[in-house]
Amino acid sequence: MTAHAEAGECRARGSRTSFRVRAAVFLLVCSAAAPVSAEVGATASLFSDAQFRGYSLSAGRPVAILDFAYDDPSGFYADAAGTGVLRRGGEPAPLGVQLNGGYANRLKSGTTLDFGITHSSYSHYSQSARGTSYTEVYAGIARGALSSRIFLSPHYFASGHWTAYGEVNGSISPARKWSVDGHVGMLVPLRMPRGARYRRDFDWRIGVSRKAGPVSLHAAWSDGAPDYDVYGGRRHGRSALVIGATWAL
Amino acid sequence: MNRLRLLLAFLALVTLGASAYAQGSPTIPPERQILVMVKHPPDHFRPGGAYGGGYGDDLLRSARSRLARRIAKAHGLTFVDGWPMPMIGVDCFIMAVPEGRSTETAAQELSTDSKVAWAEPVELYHAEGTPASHNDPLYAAQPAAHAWDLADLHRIATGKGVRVAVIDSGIQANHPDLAGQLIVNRNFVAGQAEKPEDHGTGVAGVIAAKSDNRIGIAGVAPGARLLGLRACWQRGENTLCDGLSLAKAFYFAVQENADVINLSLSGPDSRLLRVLVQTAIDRGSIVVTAYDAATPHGGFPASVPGVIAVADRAFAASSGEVYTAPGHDVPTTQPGGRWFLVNGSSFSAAHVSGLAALVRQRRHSDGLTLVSDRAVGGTIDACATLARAASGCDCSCGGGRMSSARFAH
Repeated sequence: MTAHAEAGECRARGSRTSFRVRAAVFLLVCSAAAPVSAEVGATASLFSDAQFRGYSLSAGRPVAILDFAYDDPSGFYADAAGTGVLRRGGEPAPLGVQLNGGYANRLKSGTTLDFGITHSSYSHYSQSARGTSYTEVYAGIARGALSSRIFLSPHYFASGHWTAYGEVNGSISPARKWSVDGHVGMLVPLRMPRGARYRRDFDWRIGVSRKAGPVSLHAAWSDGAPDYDVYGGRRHGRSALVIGATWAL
Repeated sequence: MNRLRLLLAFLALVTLGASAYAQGSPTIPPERQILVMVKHPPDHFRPGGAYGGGYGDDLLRSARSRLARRIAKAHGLTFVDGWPMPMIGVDCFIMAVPEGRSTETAAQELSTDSKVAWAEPVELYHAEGTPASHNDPLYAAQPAAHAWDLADLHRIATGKGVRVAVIDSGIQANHPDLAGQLIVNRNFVAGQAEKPEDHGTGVAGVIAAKSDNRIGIAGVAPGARLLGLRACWQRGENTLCDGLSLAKAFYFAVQENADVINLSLSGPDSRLLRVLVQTAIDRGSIVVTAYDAATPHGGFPASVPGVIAVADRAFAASSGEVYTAPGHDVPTTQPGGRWFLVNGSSFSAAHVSGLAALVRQRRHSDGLTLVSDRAVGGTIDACATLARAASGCDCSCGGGRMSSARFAH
């Protein structure tokens, strides 16, 4: 088992209350962001699964995401996203909230440096029955079609789980309106509570997307180190095909 | 099985989505359009990026679209389209100016808007070639074969591994003398289907027509590979381009790290194109363009510092510091699998782009230092130019043995 997969067993108490607070913060951020006169972007998306670093956060269920982003010309930026999951039986339920902020600077050479912090919180409707969350600070570098980042978390889905995650992403456009992207990432546990089981983990993804008017259609195949994912009381393989659509609002 | 269903669903969505939006934006003539540049925020981490497939792009696209529509509305314009150019830090919005208002006035007004970096009308450019002098088929008479000792040059370099972007009208990719030479053939002209055209096919042939294939001609750099970027179109005997199509194609060439970028055309100055040309040069590309003898300083982009401007030898006496290369009665490839004779500085520039590819093969990181019969400008000595790049090689060109001492200028 990886640090991520076992996270549900080590949850800090009070996760449900905490999730409601974070959801309220998300709504506050969204309502505050809307009237800003600069660039505020918004998208609505549907995906067949919420895959994250080779694991499903939605227990293999489809998700809907509402995402707001503000990019200041100075380089500061903020994102807020809310995700809902379609439960078995077709009943929608809140899944998670993601907040993110940082600063990016494009150097004269064309290289972009990026620093920020991201926090994600998931309800008990996620793959973890008790809800879960993590916070990460990150630093990244991007040039042309390639970008690389390193993330550090003091509580990666569980209290006291210090982890580092490094990733390399690439994207090319083989034809107009089409893009192909690839991702490889590695999670390294840095410091764990005594008795916690952990090991290094890696994941990869290859995806393709096609723009059609205001809609982008996505398909991505992801997998990771030989291991299994656990949700719905069963083990599942880590390889997953996710399709989705994003509407630019 | 579930994955198969997902895959089929994706393919069905792509098919439906593509057909639903196949019509694109309405066609508005370039002379009624202006380009509005807004600062592009740097690309950065987006949490949703874990879903893959350019998820974050849509957020930026949404924000850009809102901003563009707001700017257009505030200035009484119509938002047509947008083209992100993160490499030079701007988003380029295309806006239509209503009848009865000049594009120059609208661009000036927009340039005073604090949200706008700058704005400029979509200008028209023209290729610096003249139509074929007659309809006779090709004679084995390439000027470069004699003036440049082309066969000797090819013993030293053929341009192998070098990527040359040809920003021009359409190229016949399956021409017998060009088949396999194009690694990209993309159309950037809005509202017009890709098709082979005279000027682009001719320029491509001069640069990289296949050699020793028992047909047609030998390009100056037959080992080079071409990025055919259609930004111009043929209208009668003329070849025209608009600033937006040129900017899109040029951006693509820089993004693809083209070693050499050939622009056999000239026209009015454009800040957007100037920024792109400068970015290309800063990134190590060699930019070659045609010199327009009828315009001060050769026109644009010939007047941009760092750009190699080339004219036909017919201008050698009158054009001061400009470099000259063969450009008269040049046999080259034409659409329909034919070869014709062509004339003009467009083809002189194409010769130098080919020479630049040869130099790049020998010295990949260097720019192009031309050796000529004058201190600045004049008739290019192709052998000496290549010898300078190939210093140290035991090879001969132009009837003499090369040595670094002889050619070290």
